[in-house]
Amino acid sequence: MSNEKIIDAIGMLDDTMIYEAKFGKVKVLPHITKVIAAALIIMIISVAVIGGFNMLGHMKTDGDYTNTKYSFRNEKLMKICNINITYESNEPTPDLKLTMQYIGSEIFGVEYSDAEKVVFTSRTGIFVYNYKSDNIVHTFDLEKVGAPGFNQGDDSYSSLQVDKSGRYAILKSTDNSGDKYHYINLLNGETKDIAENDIPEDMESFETQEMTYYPESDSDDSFNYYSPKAHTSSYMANYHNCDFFMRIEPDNKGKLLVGNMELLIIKPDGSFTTQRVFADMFPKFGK
Amino acid sequence: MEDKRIIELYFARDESAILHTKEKYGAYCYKIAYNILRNNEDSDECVNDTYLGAWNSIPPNIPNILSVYLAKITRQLSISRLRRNTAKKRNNNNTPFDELNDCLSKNLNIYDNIEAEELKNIITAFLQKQSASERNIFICRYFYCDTISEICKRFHYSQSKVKTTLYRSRSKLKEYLMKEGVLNE
Repeated sequence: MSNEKIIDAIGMLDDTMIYEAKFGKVKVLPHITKVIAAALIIMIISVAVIGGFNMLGHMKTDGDYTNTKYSFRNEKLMKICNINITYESNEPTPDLKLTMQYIGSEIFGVEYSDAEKVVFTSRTGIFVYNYKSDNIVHTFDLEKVGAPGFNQGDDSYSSLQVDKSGRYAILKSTDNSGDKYHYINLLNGETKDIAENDIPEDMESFETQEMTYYPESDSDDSFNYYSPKAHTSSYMANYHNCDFFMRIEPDNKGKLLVGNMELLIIKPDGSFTTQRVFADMFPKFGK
Repeated sequence: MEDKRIIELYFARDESAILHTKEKYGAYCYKIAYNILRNNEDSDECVNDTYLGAWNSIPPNIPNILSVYLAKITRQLSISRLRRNTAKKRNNNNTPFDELNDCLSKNLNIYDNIEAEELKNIITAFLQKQSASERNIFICRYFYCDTISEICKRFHYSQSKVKTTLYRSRSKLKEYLMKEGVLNE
């Protein structure tokens, strides 16, 4: 193996780093830290009572995430959302970098984002979130037009492509009856079926979009299928520092912790908000 | 039993230390070995050798984190076994390590005089510059040799996301190694 030195060096990495990769933060604390931690816990519990009432009373929670020492309420929200947001502690706070571990099995991906809006998908839905109105302004249900879900399978699936200006998107659905195309106006939410020839010329073809950024080789035989969707969301997640979102996880009985599906939306300035979406768009975690 | 107590048993030269290690970390070590070797018998042997390795090295060593200490032994034993098997052409399996060839290329290799410790420090520095998720995925894949599926489950990521993240990490590591003057042409 020509890479033996690298392999051996990885085997010598710091214990804590290795442990945390698998099991999360090391819980063993020095004695003095335990004392401080105990004091902090007492303080946090006190704040939690107030914060908890606040969250229950207001399903919509805004918060400023630009401080490196974010408030307990923010942390609570992070916990409920079951996400990790990491930031470069050495970075000046205005240039805060948010790395979202954002993609769950049900929320499928961020397809497009600009200063005004974010277009994102669930397995069977497309959503347009507008920053200014702080609302999901348009939804589009794939099932209503007979389109299979995103990433449904090799023979039956849908894929979405948003044009560069963010004005419209083309949904391509593929099943055993062939390919169908739907034009979605992202500005007013109107949709219509179109023929392949009607796809605007300035739209990149679905074919050229596929596989563009994927690894050249792949040793894992079980994952040879990639959809343009997954590609797009990974691309977005990696190349944009912010403005992504996360669903709130259900508890282990499938009941959503805050009553319904909510998304955490990170805005370009680092602040965030939660946004209610429609549970029936997420069959697995519906009511 | 708590790790601290198990380590005390090792120090007391109490053989039940191995039994408790096996109970607590047997499956965990086996998983690491199997992810590398893809062979039940070889994996079992490596895990047994891990217990022996722990017995022989504690004391004098005092594991900082017992699970990682055992994982390191298992991993190294499994890699040694893998290399022997590969030399004897008994190994036809792809391993996550093959992906690390991305960090090298036909014309780029690591200088012979680079010591493992030095390279470890460079890779550590590289990983510390990555985001937590990138770093954790990298370690899960190339230290624990977890499968892509396991990593997806662990981090709630899609498969393509994990693969793309790993690919980019490898590319960045290659760039970093070049920048640090570790690779020669």
